[in-house]
Amino acid sequence: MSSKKLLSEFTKGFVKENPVLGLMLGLCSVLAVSTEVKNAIGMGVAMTFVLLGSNILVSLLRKTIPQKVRIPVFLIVIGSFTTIVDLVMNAYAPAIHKNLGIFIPLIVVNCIIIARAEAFAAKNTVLNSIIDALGMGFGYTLVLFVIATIREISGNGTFFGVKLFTEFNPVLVMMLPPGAFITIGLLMAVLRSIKK
Amino acid sequence: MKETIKLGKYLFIICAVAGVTLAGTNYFTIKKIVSQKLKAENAALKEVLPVAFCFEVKNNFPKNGFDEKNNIVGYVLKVTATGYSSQIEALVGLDRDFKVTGVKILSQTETPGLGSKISEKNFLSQFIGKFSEKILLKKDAQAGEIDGVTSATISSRAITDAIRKKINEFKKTVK
Repeated sequence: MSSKKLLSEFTKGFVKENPVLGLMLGLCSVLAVSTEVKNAIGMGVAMTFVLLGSNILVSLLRKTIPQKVRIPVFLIVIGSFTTIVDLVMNAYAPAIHKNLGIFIPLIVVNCIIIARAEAFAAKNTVLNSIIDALGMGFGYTLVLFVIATIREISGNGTFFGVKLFTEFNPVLVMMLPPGAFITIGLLMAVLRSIKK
Repeated sequence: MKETIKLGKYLFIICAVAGVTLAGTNYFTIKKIVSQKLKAENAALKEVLPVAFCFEVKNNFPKNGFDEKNNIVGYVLKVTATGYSSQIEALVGLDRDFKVTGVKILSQTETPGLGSKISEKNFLSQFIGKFSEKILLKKDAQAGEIDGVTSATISSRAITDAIRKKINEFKKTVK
């Protein structure tokens, strides 16, 4: 495996196969947690960790997992990692845990993870799967960060909770779910025009 | 048949390993989680009733707050209100004259960026130092002295009214 190939496995998650904007996966959590940059990063890190764990394990087991029960096995692996993240965050980062609330346990049903397990980790070596997970996780976090930045600044006039303007009339719709759809749509349009 | 048993065995092993791992994680984090929760709870009590040195140890509310000499200096009530999209839970601290010493929102899932602002200091600090008669939204009553959060009237009204009612109820039980 050449290092160039590895690099492309890593970077494909940023733009070309970006899980959110390119593959349109995991939108539910993106809509929900992108109102604040702080939450967006917390969610991105938690999700990357689960993705990394599940990709490594699925890739390790890929030759022994019977084809017929592979989906239940993926689910058990993903569920276990999510629960570990949930418990550890609750113990050591209770503030972020409280903000993200229900969306941590919901990583279980985040389709990005099962999609990577099925489409990539089940067919590739451990090293490639690690690279893939990091790239995809970074791509997901990056998109969350950009959307949350746009929404937090326009909808609340703050960035990372710091007030940016003295006289500012926030665009309230940006804080609500429609704001997330609008932002995602615009970003997708920008990305597509760049790709061409 | 043979294959079914094979698949079953495989799934059993995977589940057993997952179960043991999770039990282990739970074992190592449970203490920390419980202590974090207690710490957060105590901090919340202290926040709404800063004059108190310690609090009554029991599982339900209202809780009495004590000073160093074990005299009652105030009370902490738990208020539940039905907001716009969620149940709002809050702690309210009262001194012995039933004047509010602090309000803290424990949990809510109101609209992020709108209703969720009821848990911010700008809104909650208005309650401090007020008797229950003044705890009404300005737009609802002449006597009211609470400014609602802009475009989140339902959430603001829900928590304001719930706090007033709870204090009034509590007064009767003490007197």
